[in-house]
Amino acid sequence: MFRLEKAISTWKRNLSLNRALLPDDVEELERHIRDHVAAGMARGCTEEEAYREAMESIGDLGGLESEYRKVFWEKVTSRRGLMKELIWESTMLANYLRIALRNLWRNKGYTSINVLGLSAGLACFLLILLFVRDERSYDRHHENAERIVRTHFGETQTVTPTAVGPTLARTLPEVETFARIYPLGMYQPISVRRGESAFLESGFYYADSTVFDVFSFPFVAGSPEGALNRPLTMVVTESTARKYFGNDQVVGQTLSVGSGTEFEITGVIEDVPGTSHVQFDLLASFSSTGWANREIWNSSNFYTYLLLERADQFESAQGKVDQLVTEMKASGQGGIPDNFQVNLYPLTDIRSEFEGRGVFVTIFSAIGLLILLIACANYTNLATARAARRAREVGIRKLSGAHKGQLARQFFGESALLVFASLVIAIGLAEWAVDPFNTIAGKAVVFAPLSDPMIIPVLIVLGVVISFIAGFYPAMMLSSFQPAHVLKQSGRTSTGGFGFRRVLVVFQFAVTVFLLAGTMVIRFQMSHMQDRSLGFDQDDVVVLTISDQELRRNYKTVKEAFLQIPGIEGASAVNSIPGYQMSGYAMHVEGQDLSGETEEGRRLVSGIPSDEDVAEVLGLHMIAGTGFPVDPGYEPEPGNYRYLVNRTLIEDVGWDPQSAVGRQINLLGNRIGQIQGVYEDYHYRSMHEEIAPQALFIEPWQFNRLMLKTAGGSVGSLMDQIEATWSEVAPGRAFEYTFLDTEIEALYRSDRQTAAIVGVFSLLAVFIACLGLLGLASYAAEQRTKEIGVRKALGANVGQIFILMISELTRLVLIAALIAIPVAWFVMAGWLENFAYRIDLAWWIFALAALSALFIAVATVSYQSIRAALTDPIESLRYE
Amino acid sequence: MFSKPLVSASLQPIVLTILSRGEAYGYEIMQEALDLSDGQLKWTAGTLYPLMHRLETKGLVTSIWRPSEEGPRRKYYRITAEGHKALQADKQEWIDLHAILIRLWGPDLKPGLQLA
Repeated sequence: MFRLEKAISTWKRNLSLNRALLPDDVEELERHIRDHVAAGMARGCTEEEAYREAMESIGDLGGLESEYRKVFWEKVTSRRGLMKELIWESTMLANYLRIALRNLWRNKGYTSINVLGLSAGLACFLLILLFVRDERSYDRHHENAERIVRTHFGETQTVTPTAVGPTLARTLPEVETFARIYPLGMYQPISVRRGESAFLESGFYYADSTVFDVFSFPFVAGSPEGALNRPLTMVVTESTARKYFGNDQVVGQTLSVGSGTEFEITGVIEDVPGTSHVQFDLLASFSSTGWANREIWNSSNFYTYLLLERADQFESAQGKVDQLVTEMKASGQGGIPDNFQVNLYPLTDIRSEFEGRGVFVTIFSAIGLLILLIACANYTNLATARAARRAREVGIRKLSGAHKGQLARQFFGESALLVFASLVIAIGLAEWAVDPFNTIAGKAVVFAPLSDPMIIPVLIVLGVVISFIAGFYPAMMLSSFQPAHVLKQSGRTSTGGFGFRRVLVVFQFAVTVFLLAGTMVIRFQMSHMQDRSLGFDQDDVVVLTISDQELRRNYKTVKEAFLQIPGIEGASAVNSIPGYQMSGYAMHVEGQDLSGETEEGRRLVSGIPSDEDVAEVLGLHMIAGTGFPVDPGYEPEPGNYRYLVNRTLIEDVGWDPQSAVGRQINLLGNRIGQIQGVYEDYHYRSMHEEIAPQALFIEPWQFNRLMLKTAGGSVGSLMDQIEATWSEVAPGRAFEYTFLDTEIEALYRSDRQTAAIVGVFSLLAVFIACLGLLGLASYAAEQRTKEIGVRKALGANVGQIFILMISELTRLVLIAALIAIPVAWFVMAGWLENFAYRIDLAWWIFALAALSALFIAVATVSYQSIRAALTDPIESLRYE
Repeated sequence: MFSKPLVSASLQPIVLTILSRGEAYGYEIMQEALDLSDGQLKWTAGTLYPLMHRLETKGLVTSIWRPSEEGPRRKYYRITAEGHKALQADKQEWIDLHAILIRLWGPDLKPGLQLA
C-alpha cells in the first residue's frame, strides 16, 4: 500500500543529506511535490500515480544536484552560510590529511623511497639555486652596472693601452666618463710597509680618480669625491686598513710602497665583494704613475672602463669605436696592429660570458632541474603503479557519494603532504651539504633559509609546483576510476597508466645515460690534460717574488746566495712562471723589416724576460743551438739581445730549427738580437689555450719571480734555510713563497670543480632514478606473482624467469640510450670546444655510459626479480 | 519539445514574463509555462529552482515565504524593477533574433526549405 507521507519523508531525508541543497531548498521542493500531487489527484489520478508524476517533474537526482551545485556558492555567500561551509571544508581537509597520513604510514617502503628521492632532489636543487644566484649577482652591485663597459683589445685581451679611455671619451658622445685601472700587483706583487709590518700586495692597483664615478664602492671613511685626485694618494679596503693599522684612524696616515714611496690614505672602502670580477686591496691614484699624462697605444697594461650615458647605447658606441679604429689604422696613428680591434664588453657579461661561467651556470641549472624531474617521475610512477591497490578504495568512496573532484583533491593532498615533508628534510640536507658543496664548487654561498628573503617563497612555490607536477597524473587517473568497473575485478589487474610509466622510466634513464656520458667525457678530458706532458718540469720548484728594483738589479747575487744552500740545484729569475706567461710583443724578423718601422711581417708573440738558467731549471728540451750563453758581463742592449724561441715560432716564420739559430729577430721596443737556441714547445699558459710562438730573452729589469729547483723530497728544513737566506739578501721584504706545481694546479681549479660537481650531481641523479626503479620492480614482481607461479609450474627455470623480468627494462633503457646519446654527444662536443687540447669523442664512451646505465638498472631490479623467480609456485598459486 | 540549449536560453524571459503578471510560486510558474506552450515546455524542478535562485542573487526577483491553508508554506517569487529591465532587454533580443530568422526564411516558409 502506497503511503504518500512516508514516500515524501524518505525522499526528504535523502535529500537533506545532500550538501548541494539547503533546508529551504528542500522545503520548496517538497511543497512543489505536494502541489503536483494535489493537482494530479484533482485530475483523478491515484495518490501513487500522482506522486510518480511529481517525481518525474523533479527530474533525476544527479541532474537536480548538479544544477543546485552551480548556484550553491552564490547562495551561501549571500546567506552568510560561508562560515559553516568553511568549517565543513576544513573538516574534510583534516579528513583528507588523516587518510593521506594513514596511507603513507601503511606503505612505509613506498613513502620512504619517495621522501628520500624528493628530499635529495630538492636539496640539490636548492644548492644549485644558491650557486646560480651567486653567479648571476657578479658585478651587479654597482649602481651603474648596466651602463658600464670594459674595452678589450681584440677578442681576448682585457687590458688596453692608456690612450683608449681618453680617446673614446673625447670622440664618443655616448661616453659619460671613463676610468682606467692599472693592475700592477697582478703583474708583480708590490711590497707595502708600515713600520715593522710589511706585506707583498698582489692587490695593489692604480686607478683614475673617476673610478668611484663609474663603480660604486661604498666608503666607510673619507669620501669618494677627489679621493684619488692628487698624486701619491690611495684608498684601501677595510681589511687592508685593519692589517696595517689595527683599529686606528686610517685616513691621513701613510703607507710606504715599493722602495719607500709614501702614499697618503684618503679613504677606506668596504672590502671588494667576492662577486666582483676585479679584485683589489689598495687603490692608488693613477696620477702617481708616469702613465698618467701619456696617451700611448703600444703598451697594453690597463683595464679601461667606460660609463655610457644610457645602457641602450652599447651598439651605437661599438659602431663608432670600430669606425674610429679603422680611421686610426688607415692614418697609421697609434700603431694598432692590423688584426686588432677595440671591443666593448658589458660589465655584467664579463663573468658569465667572457670568463665562460655562463656555460657552467647553464649546465648546473639543467642538472638541478633534471634531478627534480627524476624525483617527480618517481612519485608519479609509484603512485600509478599502486593505483590497482587503491582502485577499490576509490570505488567504495564513489559509491558513498564522493565526487571526482573530492577524490582528486585527496590524491593531490597526498602528494602535497609528501612533497612538503620532503621539503623540510631537504632544508636539513641542504644545511648539512652546503659546506662540502662550497668546498667542491669553490664558492662561499650561504644557506640561511630563515633570514634569506628568497628561500621561503621559493620553497613554497616549489612545493606547490612539484606537488602538482608529481600528483597530477595519479590524481586524475585514480579519481576517474568507474566504481562498477573496479569493484567487479579482483583489484589485482593493472589499471592503466602502464604506458605512461614506461615513458617516465625512459625519461629517467635518458637523463641517467646523458649524465653518465657527460661525467665520463669530463673525466677523460681532465685526465687527458693531467697526463699530457706540459713540456717542462713542474715538480720541486719553489717560487719567490723579487719584484723590486734592487733585487732585480742584483738577481745574480741573490741567485748565488740561494745556490749555496745544499738541496737547491738550480735557480732562475723570470718575468712570470709557466702557466701565467701572458705578456705579448709585436715581433719582426730578419728579411722582413727587422727594424720594425713598418707593419711588414709583424707578428704577435709571447715574450718572456728570463735569465740564462731558465732552460735548465725548467728542464726545457733544446732541439737546436744552446741555452743562453753564460757570459758574466752580459747586459742586454739594442742589437745585442739574446733569444731562445719555441718550435712554433720558427715554424710560424718558416725556418727550420738548425737554420734558425743565429738569425735575427726584434721584439717591439728596439730589442734586435740573435736566436741562440730553439726549444721544444711547452705549455706556457693553460691547456685551454693553444701554444703560440714564444721568445725568451734576458732583461733583468722585468724579472719578478725567482724559481729555485730543489732536489725534491721533504722541503721542511729547506724552507727554513731559504727563508734565512731571503732575510739576508732581501732584508725588510716579506717572505712569501709558492710552488710551481701548485700554481699550475690552480689553473685548472675551475675545470676540476666542474668535473667534481657534475660527477656528484650525476651520481645523485642516478641514485634517485634507481630508487624509483626499485619501487617499481617490487610492484611488478608482486603483480606478476601468479604469472610466475604458472610459468614455473609449467617448467620455466629461474634463469628464464629472471630474463622475463628484466627484458622489458632492458628495452626501455636501450630506448633511453638512443635518445640520450645524440644529445650528450652534441652538448659535450660543445663543452670540449673550450679546450685547445681535447680528447676525441669516441663512440665507446657513449656505449660505456649506456651499458653502465643498463647495468645499474638491472642490478637495481635484480634482487626483486630473483626473489620473484625463486618463489615456490605452491606459495603463489595456493589461493587460486 | 525544444532542444536543451534553446530551453535554457528561453527560461529566463519566460519566467520573468509570467512573474510580470503577478507573484507566483514555483509549481505555479511551471504549470503556467506548460499550459501556455501546450505541454511543449516541460521543465524539471532541477532546472527551474536553481534558475530562481540565480535570478534572485542577480536581483531580478525577490522571494517571500507565505503560509498556506492546505499544507506547508510556499515560497512566492516577485519580479523587481531590475527584473522588468532585464525582461525588456531579453524581449528585444528575442524579437531581433526572430526578425533575422524570418528575413532568412521568409514569413511563410518552414525551416529547412530553400528560397528559390
